[in-house]
Amino acid sequence: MAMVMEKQKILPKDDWHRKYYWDLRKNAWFCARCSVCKSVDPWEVKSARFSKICPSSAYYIFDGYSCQGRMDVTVALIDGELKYDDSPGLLDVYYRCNMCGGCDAMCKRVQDMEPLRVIQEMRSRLVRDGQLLPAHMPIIDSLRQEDNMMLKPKAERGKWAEGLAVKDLTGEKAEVAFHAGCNLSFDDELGKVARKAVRLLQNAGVDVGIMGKDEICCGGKAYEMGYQGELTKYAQSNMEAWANAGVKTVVTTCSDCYNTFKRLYAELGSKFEVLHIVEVIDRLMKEGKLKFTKIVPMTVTYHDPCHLGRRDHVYVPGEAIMGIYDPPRNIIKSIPGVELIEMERIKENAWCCGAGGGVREAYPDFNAFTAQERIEEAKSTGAEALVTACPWCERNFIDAISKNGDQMKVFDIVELVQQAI
Amino acid sequence: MPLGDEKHKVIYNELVNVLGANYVCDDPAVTQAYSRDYYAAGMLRRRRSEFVVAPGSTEEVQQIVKLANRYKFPFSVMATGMFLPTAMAAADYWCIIDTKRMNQIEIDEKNMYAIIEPCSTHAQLHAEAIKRGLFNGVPETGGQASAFVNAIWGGNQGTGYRTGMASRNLLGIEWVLPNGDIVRTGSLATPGAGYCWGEGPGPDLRGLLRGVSGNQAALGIVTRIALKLYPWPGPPVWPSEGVAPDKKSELPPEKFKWYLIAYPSVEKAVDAMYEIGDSEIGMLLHHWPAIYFNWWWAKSREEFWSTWLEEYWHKNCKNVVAICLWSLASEKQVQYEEKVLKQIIKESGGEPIPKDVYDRWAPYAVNNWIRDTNACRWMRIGGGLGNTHIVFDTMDNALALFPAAWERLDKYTPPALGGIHSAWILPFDFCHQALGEVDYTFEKTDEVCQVVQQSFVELIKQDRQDSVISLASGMATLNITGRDFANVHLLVAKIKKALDPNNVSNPTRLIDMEKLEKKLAKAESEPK
Amino acid sequence: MGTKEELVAILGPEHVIDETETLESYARDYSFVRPTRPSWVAYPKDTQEVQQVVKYANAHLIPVTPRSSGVSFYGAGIPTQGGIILDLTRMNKILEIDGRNKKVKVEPGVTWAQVQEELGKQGMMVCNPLLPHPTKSVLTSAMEREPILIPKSEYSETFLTAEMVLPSGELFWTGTAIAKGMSGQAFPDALIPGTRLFLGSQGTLGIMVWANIKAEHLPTMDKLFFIPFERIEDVAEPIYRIQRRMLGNECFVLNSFNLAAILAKKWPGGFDSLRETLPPWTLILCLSGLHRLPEEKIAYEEEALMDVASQLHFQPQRTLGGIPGLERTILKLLRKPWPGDGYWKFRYKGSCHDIFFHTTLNRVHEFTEAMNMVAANYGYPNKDIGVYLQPIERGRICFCQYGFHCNPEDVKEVSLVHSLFLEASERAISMGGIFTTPYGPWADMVYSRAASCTALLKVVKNAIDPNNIANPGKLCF
Repeated sequence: MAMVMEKQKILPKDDWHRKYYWDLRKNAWFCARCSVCKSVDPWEVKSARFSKICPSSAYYIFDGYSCQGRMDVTVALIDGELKYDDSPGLLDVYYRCNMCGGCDAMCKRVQDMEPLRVIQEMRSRLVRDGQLLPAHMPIIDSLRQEDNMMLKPKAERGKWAEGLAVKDLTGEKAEVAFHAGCNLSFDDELGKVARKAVRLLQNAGVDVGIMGKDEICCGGKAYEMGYQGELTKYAQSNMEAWANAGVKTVVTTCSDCYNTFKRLYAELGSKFEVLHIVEVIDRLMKEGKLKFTKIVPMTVTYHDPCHLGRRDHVYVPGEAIMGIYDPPRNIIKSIPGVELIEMERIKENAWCCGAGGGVREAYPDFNAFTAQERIEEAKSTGAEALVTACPWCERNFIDAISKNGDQMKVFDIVELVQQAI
Repeated sequence: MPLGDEKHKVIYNELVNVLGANYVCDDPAVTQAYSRDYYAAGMLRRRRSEFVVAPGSTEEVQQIVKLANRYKFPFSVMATGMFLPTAMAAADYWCIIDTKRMNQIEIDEKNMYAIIEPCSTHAQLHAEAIKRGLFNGVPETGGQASAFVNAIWGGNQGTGYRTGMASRNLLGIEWVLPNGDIVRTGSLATPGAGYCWGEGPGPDLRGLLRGVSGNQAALGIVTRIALKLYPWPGPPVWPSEGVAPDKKSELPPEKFKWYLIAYPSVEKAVDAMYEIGDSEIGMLLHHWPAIYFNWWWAKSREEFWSTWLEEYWHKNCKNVVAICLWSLASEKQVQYEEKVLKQIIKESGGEPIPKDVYDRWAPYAVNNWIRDTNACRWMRIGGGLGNTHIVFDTMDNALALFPAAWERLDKYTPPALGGIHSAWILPFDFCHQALGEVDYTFEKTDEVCQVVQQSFVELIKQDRQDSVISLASGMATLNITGRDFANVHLLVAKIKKALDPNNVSNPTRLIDMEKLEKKLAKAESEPK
Repeated sequence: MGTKEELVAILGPEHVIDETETLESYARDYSFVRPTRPSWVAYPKDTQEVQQVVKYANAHLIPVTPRSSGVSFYGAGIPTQGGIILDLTRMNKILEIDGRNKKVKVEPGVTWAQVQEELGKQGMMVCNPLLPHPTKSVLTSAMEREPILIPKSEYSETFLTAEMVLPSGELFWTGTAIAKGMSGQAFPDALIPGTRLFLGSQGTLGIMVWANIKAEHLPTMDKLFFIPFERIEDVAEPIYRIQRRMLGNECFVLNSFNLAAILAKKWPGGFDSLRETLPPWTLILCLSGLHRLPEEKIAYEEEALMDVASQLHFQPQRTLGGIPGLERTILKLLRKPWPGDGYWKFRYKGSCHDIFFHTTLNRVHEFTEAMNMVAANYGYPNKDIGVYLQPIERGRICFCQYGFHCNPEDVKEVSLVHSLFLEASERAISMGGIFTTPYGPWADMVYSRAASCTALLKVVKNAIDPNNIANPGKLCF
């Protein structure tokens, strides 16, 4: 009874359906409204409570604020069904989004699509077309003046490294550039993470230097906000500075910067090796160059930063959405006395901390909701501490915890490691 | 600021008064997200609604319905919105009720049921149920879809062979009628009895809710139901490994044993299935066409087409009877059932699919029929989904209607893709009845959607001529089909008129009262 | 022409009766429902005759009350407003036995005795309630959703599709029977309204003239276990556990009264002696095998049963009270209607008034205690209440039946039991007992508590039967 018909009859006409390639409208149009973008992979759902993956869909409810909704709006804009002036809320549709990639990972489970790339490209278009989210404008203006995303004067950038005996890459050369990133550079409380990271590298015999007060933004956050020009500008400057300093490898503790350097700069021609500190530590452990000598009796749970996790993946249809999931876990599990208790949503299914995509800057309530959701999930494990590998995540969690009076501790993985050596 | 004319503004403001500004939206960029889905009808009729609202309770739904009656605006309701054609806007001032805030789950472990709300998903319920040694039947739409909608609107369960059609799994129901009254049926009609049972009192009102498809909220909005759960002998957490999309899920084989048996023809496969049903073994039983293997398994388009065009699936997975044996009583049950199954396989001339094919496929795909995660992969191939046959009757009758369905499929290939006479058969209740289905995918362009939609029109026409009720006819408005089936449209129209005098509850779906009344008035005025 | 003449023209003179004696016999049944005489009793032989009678009745606003069984227990077949009793017992053909799809198509007059015998020849059966009266209509049992002895969910919802005569006299079909091209006629849901709407309707929405009902294969091997309990509180948990593991076929509980009433060969001596020796409560569980390796199936189920028993410290036995051949006796009764004369329910005093409803297993003891308390208030001995508990769908819910007996000739006794019946029913409903088929006085009790349901049902009734001729006065109509 089964008849396989001639190939020309059974194959799709559009070769896009036979083999995927990037096309904005095709991607957006293809969305089937299946809603996998809103929920964790059904095979990974362990409770109803922690089964969603999209913070904006969970918080704002309406589908316009989901990945699927953004696909619909994209098609409507491209086709002229919707114009900018038709909708006072259009910018919110695109910007009430952490760019966490949860929707993208879930969509890729079942489709050959890149919905996050659609959202990113649409943000760039909006900016190009002068459709600027008011809340982002002062930050971008400040960036252009002060080369950081923190609305702080650039003159204060190097304070975190005061007294730190480390090569200054503006005048010296080193194999490895440690990039602190805007967040750690200006956060009085978290700046110590950068210091600890540098010392760790030095103690392991790594030839490392920093740009210190001359460090500039990676440009990644601005890019995510739609400001493509800023990315290009900062990429060129950073790459030039590293090249001048003879740098081969860039190491950072910031997952946003990591992703920017590794993935976005690569598209702009970068050939630098980019490592997150967790990769370095993992490598050092395996090489026997780093040993944990102290017991740290603590139960912890680990939060996968989006830009270190699923956003690290370069899309090849059918391939696993790999990110840097294992190195931080290897580290945690190797520390004597530490017990790792996983949250329900981990790795490519992780819930975002809330800070990304310009949300922290523009939608504080949404940002707080997202962070608190993750804290609730962390608390449900019974762990004493929440460990992560990104200062944006760390800051967001600390702020949420202090606002709500929770007891949970928050550490960067570097801080945990320091307790063990 | 509301965006439309005076009436629009009044409606908007009143909705905000009831729900709060956060839960009412009329911005076109937001309502755009409710304008279409992947079905041909959904694509062709895409249209923004004027409002979308998100109530959080039955009482809020009731208030919206009352407002709709007062200010005469039409409404429809959706959950995850995977199947939207029957809820999309079809008139001015249309208000879509998005039930995402209504997603509570309460499980009565002892008495094996769960109280759920419209946006409780299959995966959420399954995760909570298996912790308690229970499970809910999950269909082939993906665990992210609504368990609630599956039961009240239309859907199957992978375990239907034992757990029945999804509509059979409804117990007590809470329902807001189009006039704003709240009705509670089954055991809920008795104060203090709770949701535990669905019958009565007296005539069973679930019969107004469900035919082969639901009433599409044309007779009001169901806001809470209880759904049957069943014993689960498996682990309390769903097992899986790997990173998406390269994921496996394997249940303990001594408790869940899958067999995939190929047959030379679908008729022989059906004979074997009848015998299996008569022997009352297994917890899942299906007949799968070769294309299902590929749809659920392929992780990319390239993988799909390369294996399809090299005929990997045609050669190895033709007319497969899939059965999963469960250790409900004990592991000895699986051992016993295996013995019986082997007898049946031998007698019926079946052959297990090659081991290397099984190993390549099963760990990644087979357990989707217990908790589905991969179903939406079938949309990968083209983007649209169509069917030429979805019928529910005896297994033999479902089978007898396949040749006509395949003829339709041949006629519409292209634009149907894949080119195979698929035959999915899902029996219910130890093979008392069965679903027969022929699906295909297509490229989701407006041009192709026109052709696909035309095929549905022809299917409905054919159904009427042949006196068959497929899911397509079951979902078409009764204005079209009713006169061929005991004038049921006239009966339903009376009920609709009484319950929805202002015709605000998803008008144009189930029955188009305006059109019907015009037609009847015309007939009345014509000389006899 | 008068009504009788019209009816005679349709049915023939011997099939239309208006003699007092016959009318009186139809005015009452075994329930407490107030006797009301019909004006005519009509005996159609086929669908066409039913249609003609109903069309005539509708045109003249004459109530029509259908009756399909040779016996009526709950008052559904007693007219409230006179009119025509449509006795369908002449329509007693088994129209089709479909062994492959396990269903049987029956006319309303087909009895349990008839269907089990006929199906038995093919190694099949219709899942029956507990010892139905042999003249009870199988179609009516299924339509009124009488609980069956086997709590497999795959067997439940036995009613598939039907052909009906609507109160207008038009034909209607439920489920896929509405589509002539769907030869299986096996699926209850096709267009809206689905088959379910017409179940439990007591003839108020139309008259069924044939129905497809599920049939099942008879086991080829059985092994019966009796699990005795002293206290009702101890009964639920073993059933929960046994059913959670999906063990067995028939599974039900009888108290000593009911079991003795079924088993007694001699009255009253044999009954009294049995009632004393039998345990207060007995769970009867039948492990069965079909046609493939039945002994192995029974073996693993028995092992699982013993596992549950050891966890909960109960003792499955092969007999009770040393009664010889008990297993064989029960097995002979299990899948058939009551054999012979003298229906078991009437053996004690001549009449029995059952209160029945559904509740969850974990509340059964509460309801039982409540029934006992109300009975005690009336001086009715608890040991004279016949109790039958039927788990449904693997213990998801439980059907509870409490039988109160009286001598129908003893006016005082009847009056006492009547009052007791009403009060006990009220008590059960107020506790949340689910009366899914509100017969007689239960209708008011149920519908007065379910205003919105009542209103919706009336809308349905009005749409289907605007002249209110179909068994008016029943349910909430």
